[in-house]
Amino acid sequence: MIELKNVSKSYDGKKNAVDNVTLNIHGGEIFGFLGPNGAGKTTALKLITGLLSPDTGSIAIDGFDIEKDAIEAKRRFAFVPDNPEVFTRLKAIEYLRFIGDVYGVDGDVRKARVDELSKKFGIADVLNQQIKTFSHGMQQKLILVGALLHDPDAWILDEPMTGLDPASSFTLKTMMREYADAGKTVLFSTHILDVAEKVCDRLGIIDEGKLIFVGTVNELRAHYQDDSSLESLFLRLVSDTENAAHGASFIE
Amino acid sequence: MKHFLILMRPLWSEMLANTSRGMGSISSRKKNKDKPRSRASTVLLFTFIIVMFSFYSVMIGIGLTKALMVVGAEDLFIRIIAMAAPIFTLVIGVLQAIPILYHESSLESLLVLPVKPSTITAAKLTQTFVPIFLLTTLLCYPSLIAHGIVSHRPWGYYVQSIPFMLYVTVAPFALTMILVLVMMRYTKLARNKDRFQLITSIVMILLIVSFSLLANMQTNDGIFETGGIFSDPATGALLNRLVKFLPTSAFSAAMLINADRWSTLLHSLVACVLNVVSVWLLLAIADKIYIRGVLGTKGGQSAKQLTAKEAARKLTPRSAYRAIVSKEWILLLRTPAFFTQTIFFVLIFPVIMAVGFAIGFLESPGTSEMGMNTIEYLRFWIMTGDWRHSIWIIALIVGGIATFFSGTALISASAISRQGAAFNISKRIPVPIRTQVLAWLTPGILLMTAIWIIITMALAFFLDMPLSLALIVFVIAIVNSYSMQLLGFLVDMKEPSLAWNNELEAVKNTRAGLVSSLGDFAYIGVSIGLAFLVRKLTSQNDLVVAIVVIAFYVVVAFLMTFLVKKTTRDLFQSIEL
Repeated sequence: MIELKNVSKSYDGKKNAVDNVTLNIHGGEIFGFLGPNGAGKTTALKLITGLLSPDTGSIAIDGFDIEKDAIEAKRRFAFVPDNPEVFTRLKAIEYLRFIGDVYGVDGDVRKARVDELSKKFGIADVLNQQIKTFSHGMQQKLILVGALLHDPDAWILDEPMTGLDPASSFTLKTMMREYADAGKTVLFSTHILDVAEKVCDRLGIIDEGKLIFVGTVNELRAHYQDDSSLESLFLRLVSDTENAAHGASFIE
Repeated sequence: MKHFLILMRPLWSEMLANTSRGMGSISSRKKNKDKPRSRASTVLLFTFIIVMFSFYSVMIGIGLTKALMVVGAEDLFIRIIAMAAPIFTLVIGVLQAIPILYHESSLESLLVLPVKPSTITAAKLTQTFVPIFLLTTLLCYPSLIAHGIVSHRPWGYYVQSIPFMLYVTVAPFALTMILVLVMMRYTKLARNKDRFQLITSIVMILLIVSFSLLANMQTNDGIFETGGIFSDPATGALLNRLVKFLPTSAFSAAMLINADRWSTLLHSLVACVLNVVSVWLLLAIADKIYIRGVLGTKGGQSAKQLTAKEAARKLTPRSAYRAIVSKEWILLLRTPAFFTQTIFFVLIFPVIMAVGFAIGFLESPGTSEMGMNTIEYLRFWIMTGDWRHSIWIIALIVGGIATFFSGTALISASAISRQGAAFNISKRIPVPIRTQVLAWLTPGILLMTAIWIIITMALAFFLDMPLSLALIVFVIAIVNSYSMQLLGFLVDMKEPSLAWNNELEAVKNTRAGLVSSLGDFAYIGVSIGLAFLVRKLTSQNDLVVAIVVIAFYVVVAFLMTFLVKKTTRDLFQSIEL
């Protein structure tokens, strides 16, 4: 479970990139973070994973505060950033060993998981190569394998479909579903509304740092009394919020 | 030309940004997002470096000129510079060109622009040349001016000295680049950029070492008093012959030597034409092979597939500390820029010093009435037990050398910056900060310890040291090495340079590197000052002085440990990505 309480973050001390966000993401659900470019999605995910420190508010993962109980909180999630930044001179197998070591994954378990996941994402043949020889998509796949190595309670992904081929994208979506069905939390940001509509149990729409909607696609449709696609609902919501700044009423 | 100038704008900005990023003006700390960093400190550091290099250059210019004037060979100084500048260009060129020219992503972003490939090639070559030229000029030009003043050169000399620097660097640069480009395009060795960069860097550094040892072996005289090897007629003749092999240097030297005659214009013209021809040749060849060469290089080699058994073995669990240390070693050894700038430099530097000193000491004439060479005298001094009365001097010398070595060893001083954007992994793994810090410091401290074990054993062997003296030397060396490693690490953590494009930026010109490699002089100065102050206050009680100096080293080491323990958690937290 991921809990955000009144979280705000500003880079310049003037405008909040994330503005007073309160949100609960439960175990067993896939939660999609949507929003226009620069809305604050990546900042919010970086705050949740401890890459940034919030100016105000608190964030807890499975009850462990990311600032105060950082180590315990970090043990419980895996993060897949939008840009695969890894130690590119390591070989893929060395990177996976490193991840297994720092998360304390048992020897037999890690061997089995590396074997299974690397085959699933189609990188089993290149494990002995340096990561710098990999394409963007291959690096993304490697990070996905690394992220799942310690079987995290929460899986946080920033634009995970970027750079993935259709087969890997399908595998990823299936795995996200399997993870959520196993009672774990999946939180991901995306621009692809079609994916969000099909995969997510609930959505959070963020604009100019503010969370303007939290709920299911059907709840959004019910609000607008409109049966159209998520895309048109999303565009209406963002446009309404910019015009009237009344998004708070949508939040559960 | 218009497109060339347009292209040069971002490339020039990239060049400046790379340097200033290294100096900490673009970094990843939280506070920098609140307000733009003052450029004053960066400008101050640049000024300091320029003044320091200029000072050394001027001192060499004055010293050598005076010495050569005694033997009536002051013109030889101009030939020395005419030879030194191409050598600098060659060495710096080879070390710098590969990362700049073969930075593929930057080139790919230019290739998609509606600009002729030849313009892109010219722009990339200019981007490579400018820093090399500036550094060579910084090393040579002040001494050239100092030489002119000391040897009363005419005004034409100063006017001609400006094109001189261009003439003696452009053509060697062009020839060096042709060699690099041809190798990158046609040799199997260079198909792997990392391997090629590593090998060429090591060869270049070994060449420098060999040259300096050769110079050391040929002279025991102080270069500033007598001109050293350069005042030797045979060496002068050799240099004159060597200069002829570099026509641009030969004509440029003749241009300056004859600055008060009309023939200077003729020499200048020939030098200019030769340079233009070499640039034309470079551009013509580069136009044909550069872009194809870059796009044909690989960042690494494909490796054989792992069997299930091998994969299982390679996934054997370790502690988090060992995993981080192992990752650090792999990155240090596999990244050419990291390896050459940290490990190789650290390994080779003491060897140069040791061999140089050994040769100098063995060949030196009697240093005492007893007719011994320096090494024999030192052995005698140790054997008689007189060293016990001079422990403070031993402490200062060993402490100074250890501080200097450690200050120039940038392993810990680049521990954070080397991670670049991948620092996000360090931030989100569930490993206590203290463990990570210990792991980041381990390679630097281990390497310095290993080096000092070897140095101490070598000294003990050559000088017949008793165990007690060897231990004193080792402990003082380790304590000081440790302090400097921690200092560099702290500064790097405070001002990391994480947003770099090529690895050289992470280890060169960083604030941590500067502070640790320049701060060591201040530290050595303070320890020497303290020793002499205590000596004066205690009426030359050498035992007290020794105790105070060693205590000073230990206190500094404890202080650095305390600072690292106290501040790293907050510093770590405040690095934002």
